[in-house]
Amino acid sequence: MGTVVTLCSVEFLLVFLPIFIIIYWLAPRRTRAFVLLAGSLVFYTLGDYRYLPFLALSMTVNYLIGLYLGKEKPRWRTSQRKLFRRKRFWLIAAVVGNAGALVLCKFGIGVEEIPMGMSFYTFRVLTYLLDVYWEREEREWSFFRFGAYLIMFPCMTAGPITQIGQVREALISPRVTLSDIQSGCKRLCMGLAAKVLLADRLGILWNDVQVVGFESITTPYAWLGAIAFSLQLYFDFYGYSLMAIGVGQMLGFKLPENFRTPYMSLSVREFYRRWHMTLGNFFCRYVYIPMGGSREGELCAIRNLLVVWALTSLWHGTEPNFLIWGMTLCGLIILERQAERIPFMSRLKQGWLSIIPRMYVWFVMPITWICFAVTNVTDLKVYLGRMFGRIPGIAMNSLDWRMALQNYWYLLLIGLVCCTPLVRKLYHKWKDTVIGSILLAVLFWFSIWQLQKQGQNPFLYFRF
Amino acid sequence: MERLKRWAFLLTMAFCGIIYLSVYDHWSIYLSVRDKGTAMAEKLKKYDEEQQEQEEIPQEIIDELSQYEENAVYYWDVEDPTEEGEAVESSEEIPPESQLPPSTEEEISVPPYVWGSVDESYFDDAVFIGDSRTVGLQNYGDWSDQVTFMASTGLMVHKAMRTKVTLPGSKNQVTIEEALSAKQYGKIYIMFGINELGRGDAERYLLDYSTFLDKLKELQPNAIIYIQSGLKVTAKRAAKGDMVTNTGIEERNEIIKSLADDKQVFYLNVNEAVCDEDGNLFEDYTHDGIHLKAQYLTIWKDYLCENAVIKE
Repeated sequence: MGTVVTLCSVEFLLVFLPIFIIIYWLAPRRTRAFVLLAGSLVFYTLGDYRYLPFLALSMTVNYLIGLYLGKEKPRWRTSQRKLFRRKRFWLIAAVVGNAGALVLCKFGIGVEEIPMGMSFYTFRVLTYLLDVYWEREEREWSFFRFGAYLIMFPCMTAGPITQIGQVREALISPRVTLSDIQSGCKRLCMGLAAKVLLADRLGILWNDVQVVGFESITTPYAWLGAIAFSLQLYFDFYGYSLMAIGVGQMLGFKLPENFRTPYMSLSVREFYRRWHMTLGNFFCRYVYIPMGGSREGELCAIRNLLVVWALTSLWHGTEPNFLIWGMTLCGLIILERQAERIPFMSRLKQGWLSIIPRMYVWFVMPITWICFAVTNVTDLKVYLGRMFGRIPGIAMNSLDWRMALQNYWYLLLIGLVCCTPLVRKLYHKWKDTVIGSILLAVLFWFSIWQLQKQGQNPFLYFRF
Repeated sequence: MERLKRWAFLLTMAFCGIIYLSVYDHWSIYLSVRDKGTAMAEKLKKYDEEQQEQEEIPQEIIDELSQYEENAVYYWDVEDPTEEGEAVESSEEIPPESQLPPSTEEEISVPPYVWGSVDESYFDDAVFIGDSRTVGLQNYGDWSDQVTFMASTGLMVHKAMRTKVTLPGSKNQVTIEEALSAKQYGKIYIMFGINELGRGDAERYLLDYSTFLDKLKELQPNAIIYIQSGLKVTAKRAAKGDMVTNTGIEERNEIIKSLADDKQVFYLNVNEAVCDEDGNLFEDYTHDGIHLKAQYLTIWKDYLCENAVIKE
């Protein structure tokens, strides 16, 4: 059955979401956390009901451990030190338990495929436990609020990884105003359009390249495919995040942003500070800095970076190509760190000279995204070989890239323009005007139409 | 008025939504959710009641659920409302196979044919008609410029004649019927069979295919017509659970074999070159389970070269 209901399905957008928002709005404020939790469980069940008992068990256990970790005063006859040691024991047990469960699922031990949203769920749990242990956050006494924080449906499948402090106030007294609902809805429209009209369409170019077979693509076509994938991944994830934030806004939450025009970055380091920011923030706050960060010298920093990137690779997938992806990026970041010491480098970031680092980023990112996209290492070698003309092609069609450009040039152009801050500026300028509202509404329903075409008739979208 | 302004965006969305749902979707999204819900509820109720008596799902449920299928409007059908009419009319016009006059064929002196291997020049007066698999063959088959292709993604046999294609050497698009009227070809290779899986059953496919063939014979009376078996898919793709299955493809391939008369129309079982012992497409030959990768398209081309009908 799999994930039938996701944030992007027509059933969710036209049936589940309106009904839920109405119930949520009508419910008394004090009960809204419960309503959110219940709604999220329904959402989860519609997607994948098999792991519901495990989810319930995990939530309960983590809730109890969280309460213990936030304990300040030891019981009578227990010393502070003993409490500290016990808290540390339970923290380690919880971290190992949660992370271990995730690792086991990733390796397919005990399950066929990872339960829906488990990677993000695990990270939210770890965020909470570590924040409570380090006394950065108060423990959450209400089970409903805790549960709602963990599995709130906007963030469930791929949503921003939130800290409990970012949502707690909204959970305690959720204020939902009409302007929140409308703003959130507009964001939802943008996110949906990005995903359905840009990402899914660019995905067809990438799919075409895969169908032909990597041995048979010309070098320009290989690069087009890499660029198409880079854009597809961005708009898919960015669109989804926008939708999550939009829905969150409609429920009174201010969820953190996940992307900040990453393709405008001037270095790989900067790129990953602007791409999937909540994940980067997680690794920074809970792995890199606790391990010492950059404060204990360059060698330590390098070691810490390697650990962070090894974990990031593993989080994305267990196949070796993810490790290649992660380690390549780590290597580039380490090199950039050293290069930034050269005074000349800072001049490159200013004015028209900044085109050079931008070209560097646009050269490097598609290559690393290919390492991310192609799971089979042999196929990856072939693809990279074709990108640089190192491997001879078999049965190639020398016009393939021209045909692809003919069919997709407008999508690529729109995609590239949307990588700039331009669209965002226009959005903020016009979203409250009449034309802006009509445009957004049209975008939404046009996207719904596309989704319905894809869903009901596999032959219209996936035409053979 | 102020109040209206505050609700402006939501009202706009609702307004556009009502137009969209009424005009295009016919509220089917909500109706289908309601129908799915009631059907499931009834199914469970009846299943509970009859659990001890029977192990199979009662026929009434099957009938009831199939009702929805029959009444459902498929959007790929509704594009051209006259299509349904045409299909119904043509079923009355086409005489059943058994009534095809064999005597008329005996009156014409038919030159003898022989199967054999040919080289690429054989295809210089050939035309290939088909869907995206044929497009793949066109792009990666390394053909000479003399070979003609009239193929496009999503091409289906029932509307092939009306579909526009761009011929090499011209920028204009013409329908396949016009293109076939303009020039006489020596050989015609046809392959359909996958897009039609979502459009009716095998008998319907046979009807559409024979209509297409009759038109083809009318426009190209001297051409050798090859009906190629619809290429199968991989086992993995067939197991996905949607309408794309090898059973469906095989059914349709079997039924169109009857259209081959071994005098002008010949059946080519291309599947034997690209499928394994179980009759599924080799996993290695494809990425998406349906289209052959470019480097394996030569297997198809070689098969055609080795299984050609030569007029003596």
